Amino acid sequence: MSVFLPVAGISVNAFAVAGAGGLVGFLSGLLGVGGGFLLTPLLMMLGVAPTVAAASDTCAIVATSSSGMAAHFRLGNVDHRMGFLLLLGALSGAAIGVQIIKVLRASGTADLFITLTYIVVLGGVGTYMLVESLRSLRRGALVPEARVAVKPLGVFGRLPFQIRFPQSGVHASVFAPYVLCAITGLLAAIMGVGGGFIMVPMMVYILRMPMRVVVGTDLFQILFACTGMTIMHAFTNHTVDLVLALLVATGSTVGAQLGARLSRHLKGDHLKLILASIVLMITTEMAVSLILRPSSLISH
Amino acid sequence: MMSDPGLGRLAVTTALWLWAASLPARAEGAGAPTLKLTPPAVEMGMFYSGAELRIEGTVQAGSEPIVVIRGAGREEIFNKKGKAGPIWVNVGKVRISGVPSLFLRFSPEPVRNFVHRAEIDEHQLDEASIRHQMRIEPDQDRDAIVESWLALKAQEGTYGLSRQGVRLGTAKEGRVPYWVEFHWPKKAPPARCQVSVYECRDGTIIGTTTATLPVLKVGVPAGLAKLAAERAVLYGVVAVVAAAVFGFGIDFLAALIFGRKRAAAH
Repeated sequence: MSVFLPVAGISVNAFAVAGAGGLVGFLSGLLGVGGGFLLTPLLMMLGVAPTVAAASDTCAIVATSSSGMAAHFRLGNVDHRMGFLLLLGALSGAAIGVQIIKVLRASGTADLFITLTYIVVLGGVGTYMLVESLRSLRRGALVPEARVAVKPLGVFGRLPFQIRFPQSGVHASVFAPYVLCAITGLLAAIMGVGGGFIMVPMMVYILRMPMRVVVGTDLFQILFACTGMTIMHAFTNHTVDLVLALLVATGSTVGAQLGARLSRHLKGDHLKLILASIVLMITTEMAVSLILRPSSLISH
Repeated sequence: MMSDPGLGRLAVTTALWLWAASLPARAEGAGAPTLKLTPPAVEMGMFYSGAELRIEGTVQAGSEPIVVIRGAGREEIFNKKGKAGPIWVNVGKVRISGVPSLFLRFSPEPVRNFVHRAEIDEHQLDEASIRHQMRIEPDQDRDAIVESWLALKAQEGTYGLSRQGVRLGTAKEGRVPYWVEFHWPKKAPPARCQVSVYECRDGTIIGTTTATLPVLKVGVPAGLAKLAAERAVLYGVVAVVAAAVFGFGIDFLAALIFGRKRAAAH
């Protein structure tokens, strides 16, 4: 069935778009990542212009994260206090990241810088998660997920203004999630993605939050971040396609529900292993595409 | 007072078709061919997936027609890939202009068989003449960029040459009927396209007739596109609210189907 996209100005197969959304939504519900880093290339493969694909993704992620977050909320997996601090940090970092990109674009080195940042950040995060989750799985049931209040790793555990985050079982300074998410937001803005795949490992390994609360809390902050981004895209670039977003959301919200339910039956280490594998696959694909001569010398 | 949206849409559509049908086909040359488009406009509604289009008319007996559809020429800006050390990255922008945004050509046989090269170039009737007219800034790696651009257009379905696309009927009263039937590419963007019929005899183009083919959004897509362009903030808020309602709605349905579950202790 074909559906015409009013802002993109093209006709697409509704089932293909909903299918792409379903895949990304499943990962979103399962792992707490927004899925923008995967959805934008998928929509571009279906013929949608990159600017419209990226902007409509953020709108679709509003639907996916609402659905996923509500499902996690009922399971008691959303830490609102932590979520608001993460959101504040991410927005501050993103504002700085946008300025850095502006300077790099003026100097003509933005694309090279973005590509290398992608490979270094994705490769580093993916490798660390893979090694750590494999090691943890080998240790077996000896290390259960922490339920006693723990402190964040290293210097982040010694910052002032410590408060308790009961939902996460973490005792941390208000600055710890703020600073960490400012760094994530900065990297995400440079890379042009939502940042869930950086945010999730940071919450797990540095803030030491249990994986299931990480997923729900990340979806909580993604919902607010993408709401703001969608309105900004609509206002400044006129590139949000509501029909495209709702088609994607049709698949992704159903996928997110299934993902959230499956996450209850998997160990935290299994979830980390899946996310690490996806991140490393994307990194490898990007690295290979940098070396091989592209089939076309021009792109939109 | 509420007006019936179905009646309103019907009235707009009818007016549009009457307007498009009333546009005169511009004819040049002594033996100008006739030209009729069915339908006279391509409407992009909610479930648009391209359109079946028929172009027909007559030429003088002994002449051969070439039918060309062109989208308005506009400058397009692309990212250009190049090598930075051992890796391929975007190294700048490239501007392409001087060529139509859409080019579909239909002829009864290969054009070179019945039209002189100079005429083909003058009227931009084949790929070689389009390549020649194309302006590329900066003009480096020209051949590779032209190839990439043509491949991109062919992939969209907006550039194509059909060597046996024009059918010819039996001559009657000194004129031969011709017709072309094809599926309008669904990835072609909204535009006011020009449909031209060239009447060729003895290697020369002796007459041309041109008509306008409007390709435009109608109904819900037209309304949403207008809202997005003219009331962007409202559109953004509507988009976010619609997405959130959709997401929570699906969650509500899922909770009804799978049952509500809450964490035991927190």
